[in-house]
Amino acid sequence: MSRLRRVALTLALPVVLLVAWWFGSADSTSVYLPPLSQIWSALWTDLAHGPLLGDLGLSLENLAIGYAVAVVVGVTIGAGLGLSPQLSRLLHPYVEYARSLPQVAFVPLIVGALGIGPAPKVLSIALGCVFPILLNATDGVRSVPAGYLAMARSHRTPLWTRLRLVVLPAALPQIFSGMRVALGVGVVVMVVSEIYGSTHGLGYYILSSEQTFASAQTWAGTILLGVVGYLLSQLLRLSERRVLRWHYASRAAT
Amino acid sequence: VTATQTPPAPTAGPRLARRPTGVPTRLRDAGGVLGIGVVLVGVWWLVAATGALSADLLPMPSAVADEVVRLIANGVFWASVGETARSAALGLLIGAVIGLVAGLAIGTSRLLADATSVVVDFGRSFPIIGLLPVMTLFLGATARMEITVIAIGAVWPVLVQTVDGCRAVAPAVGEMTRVFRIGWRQRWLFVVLPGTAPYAATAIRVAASLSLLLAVGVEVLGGVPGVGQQIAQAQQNGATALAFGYVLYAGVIGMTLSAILARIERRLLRWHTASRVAA
Repeated sequence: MSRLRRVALTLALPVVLLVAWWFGSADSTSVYLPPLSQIWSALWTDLAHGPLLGDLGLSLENLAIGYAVAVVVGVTIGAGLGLSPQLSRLLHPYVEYARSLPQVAFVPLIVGALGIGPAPKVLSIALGCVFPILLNATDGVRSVPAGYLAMARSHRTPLWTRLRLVVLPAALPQIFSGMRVALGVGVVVMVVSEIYGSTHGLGYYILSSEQTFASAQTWAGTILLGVVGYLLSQLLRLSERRVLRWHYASRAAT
Repeated sequence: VTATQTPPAPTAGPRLARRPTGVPTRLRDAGGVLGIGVVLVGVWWLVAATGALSADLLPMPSAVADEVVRLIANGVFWASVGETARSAALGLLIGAVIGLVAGLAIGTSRLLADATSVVVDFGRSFPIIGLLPVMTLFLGATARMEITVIAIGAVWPVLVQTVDGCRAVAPAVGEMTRVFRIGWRQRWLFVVLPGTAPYAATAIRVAASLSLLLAVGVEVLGGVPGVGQQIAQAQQNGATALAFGYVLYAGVIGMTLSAILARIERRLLRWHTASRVAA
């Protein structure tokens, strides 16, 4: 199949769905499901002149900080556990338990303790994101081929260099898959923390418009949320391709 | 050494030989795990006792332990656990079935895969909990709304992994079925489905923890009865210890759920694990 045809095929379904929604809802008088044209103009107005862009910025800022903290903490502790089977055996029950906690369950506790500012949101996001990254980092480090480590040791490679040049690259594909899962969780916790207790942010925008029955705004915020989630995951995928180019190249060669 | 002595556990053998103390590894591990638990609770107790955080924010471990014990005899607790478990399970079931069927269709058709790629990518990265306000507009704060949200969320991991599973069938196997002119019914029964099953099983476990997450999230935010609602209510009433107790049990529900699914998976996929061990 030619490239052009494939691109056309890829775009066909989304376009058809959007067109169907646009015309299907054009005469809608339902309070809950306004015409897509109204949703679109609400989205546009609130982005250009209203609070939406600022809300989105605040949400993304919290997400970025929380996610970054989770990556650093998760990779560090995860790698530590991966390198020390003893330690990971001892901590295993606690890690297993902590990962089973539904991450949104402690949002009320954190927001209750720290109020409605940005700090509880960042903390909730970091807590939610850290476990997928930690677990995958542990797995990744543990699956570094023993031969690599033996080789590095027989060359008397210093520990730090060994970590940076042997362990980390070998564990990186697995760490990235943890980061992908964590990003999804992070966006969910971000929205939940804003709906639960906030006066700003994308989640708050969606909730407050729902409570005032401004359903065009509710839909607009929801659609924007979906677009943001999609773009973030595509961004992560692109950076993964870039960082792991050597990995995919070596896999394709075998 | 006489024959009547119990032989050492095979895995612990060499290690025991190197450690003259002779304390079995498992026992030492249990001691270490317990020790870490004591340290964790100790730190918690210290922080709470010094009043660095007031009792409204971080209750004493003893107060939480009290609530944890008291909840066992509490009818409201069991009812809320039941509601949460039921919604999560039903949503998971509906979502997994849709995800499996759609995944098999997309995984076995290049055309369908291209046509749906954007929609699938969009759906899998959509933070489903964000649908809550819109869904509340349609269905109200009801268990039906909760199950719908969970089902929509559970579809994606199952769908994506099922597609991967279909594609992972070794090309040689696919060619062989064609060379031998094996009919589509046999191909599905003996090649496609068994090849996909391990992937789908993993995906269903991922979807299960997602289902519980969504269930609690919808209950916390949407006021739908269940464990999440109890957590939010307790916190808003200033009963922080009770809220902590509920959160601790939410983790237990999560662990139980994944343990049950892991057991089912091991049983259903015994042939797969066996073949992997042999390889």
